[in-house]
Amino acid sequence: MSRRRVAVTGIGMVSPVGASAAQCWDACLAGRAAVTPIPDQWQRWSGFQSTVWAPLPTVDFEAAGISPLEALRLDRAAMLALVAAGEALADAGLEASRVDAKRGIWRLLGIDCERAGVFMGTGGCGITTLIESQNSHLLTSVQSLASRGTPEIPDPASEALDTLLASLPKRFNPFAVSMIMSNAVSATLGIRYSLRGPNATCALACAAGTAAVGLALRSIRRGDTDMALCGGAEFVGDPFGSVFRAFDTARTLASVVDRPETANRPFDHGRTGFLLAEGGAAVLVCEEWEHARRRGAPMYAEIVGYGESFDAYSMMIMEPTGQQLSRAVGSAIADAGIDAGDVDYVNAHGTGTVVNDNVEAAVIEGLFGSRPLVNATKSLTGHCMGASGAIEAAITALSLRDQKVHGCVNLDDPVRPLNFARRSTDAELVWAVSQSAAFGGHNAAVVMRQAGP
Amino acid sequence: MSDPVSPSSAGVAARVEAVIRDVLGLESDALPATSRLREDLGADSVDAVMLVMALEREFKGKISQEEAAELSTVEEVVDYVSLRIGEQGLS
Repeated sequence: MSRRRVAVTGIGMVSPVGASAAQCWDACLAGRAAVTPIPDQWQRWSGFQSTVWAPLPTVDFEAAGISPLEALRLDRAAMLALVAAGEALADAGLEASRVDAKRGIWRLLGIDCERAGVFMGTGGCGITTLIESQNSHLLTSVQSLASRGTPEIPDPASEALDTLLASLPKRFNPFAVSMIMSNAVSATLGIRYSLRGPNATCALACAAGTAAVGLALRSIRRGDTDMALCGGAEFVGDPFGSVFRAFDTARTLASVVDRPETANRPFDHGRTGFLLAEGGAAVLVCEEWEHARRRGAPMYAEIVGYGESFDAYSMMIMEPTGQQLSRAVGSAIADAGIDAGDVDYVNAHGTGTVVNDNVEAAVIEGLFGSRPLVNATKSLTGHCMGASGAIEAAITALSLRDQKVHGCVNLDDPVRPLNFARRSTDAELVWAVSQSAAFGGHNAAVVMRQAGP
Repeated sequence: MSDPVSPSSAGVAARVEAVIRDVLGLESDALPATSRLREDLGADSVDAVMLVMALEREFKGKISQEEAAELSTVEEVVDYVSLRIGEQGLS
């Protein structure tokens, strides 16, 4: 019996370069990268090595169907996931009807909800809610004391305290647990659309989105599901720069010597680290091939292979030989039933850290030589953490559909003589790989094929 | 700056009712003042928490969850909010 095939039939995306998939893809093709100085108010709390990041654009959550009340009980990561999922489903031509106004539950029309799954990746999920809840927990009593007057506090400390207290939410959020827990990202989507099949969250840091796509592929192939929402979501823009500081202290972020717009430069000799993104989300609607064909769904690409491995080496540094990253990509290619030489395009992890890009470029050269086009979407979006693999899988699917590859921004002096796309280019693409590597040591790769018969 | 104007009780009732409808996802048919939140309108424990947050958002102030837990009908919620507005706790 032949293997069940999996089509990508819808894409939704929010990233620092756009609030929809179309906006993100246009920005990537136009080379419009996101980079901006970090918020002034963060610098009240600490000095930072890095002073740039990639904030999200304004997202109209209400227009995306998230009521102001609902926003009180959802972390921003889950809200971004909802925005991307809503866009992806509409893009796939799937309609929903509301079945429970109070709980905000909808049901997809023409879909067997018990054979529909959700697989989402995230790194920190509700970390912003955790930070805000902790502040509320510790400082509400301080606020009450301060309101009675504390003349003995010296001026600068008093000002700092006032700033902090002014940012306190009115109450400790009673929904904190369901906002912080990692599985909230997947659960939120499953509840919203009444999807009752397997529902899982991959907490695999920067490889999470890629692994989630892999889970969806395997679930549909196995016959557990006919349709799945998969992708990733992240939001790390806490009001105090705490998450930024954690990465900054670990010396992983891009430093700015001269012009901020040149700080983010994956695969370039002059790179200094990655550009942290405030967050993002991407959701792909994946469907069993015949299921998609029967309802005349649009097809971006076919997902044909998945592979994963684990470095077992270091929490923070990629294993220097790249052996395990290479094994993950190699097994994805084997799963697709093709040779490495067939691959036309590699959407690299390409963070812009010294170690990642050295190791990854060597892995790409070792597996593929210098034939396939290579780019790094993070050179435009910054690093969206747990959403990045999903964003890059979505960009890979868009590249296959449109037969275009976006450029790798700020790549002036490549670390290796690979076939890097320096600017957007038309290309004949049949097979493409999107690969990720994560803190912890997780490696994951998906292979996609141009949608065809 | 003008003196604070105390909102009319009818205005408060309408705002409270709108919040209750919003939280409980009720359609726009009549909402009698004597409706019981749990028994008649189907409010569960999560809705009770949400109602407090939604009222705080609407009336820009803090509402005690313990006091709110004692309120069982629409008119009790209206009366409670009106009283708190009188005490300058809400607006």
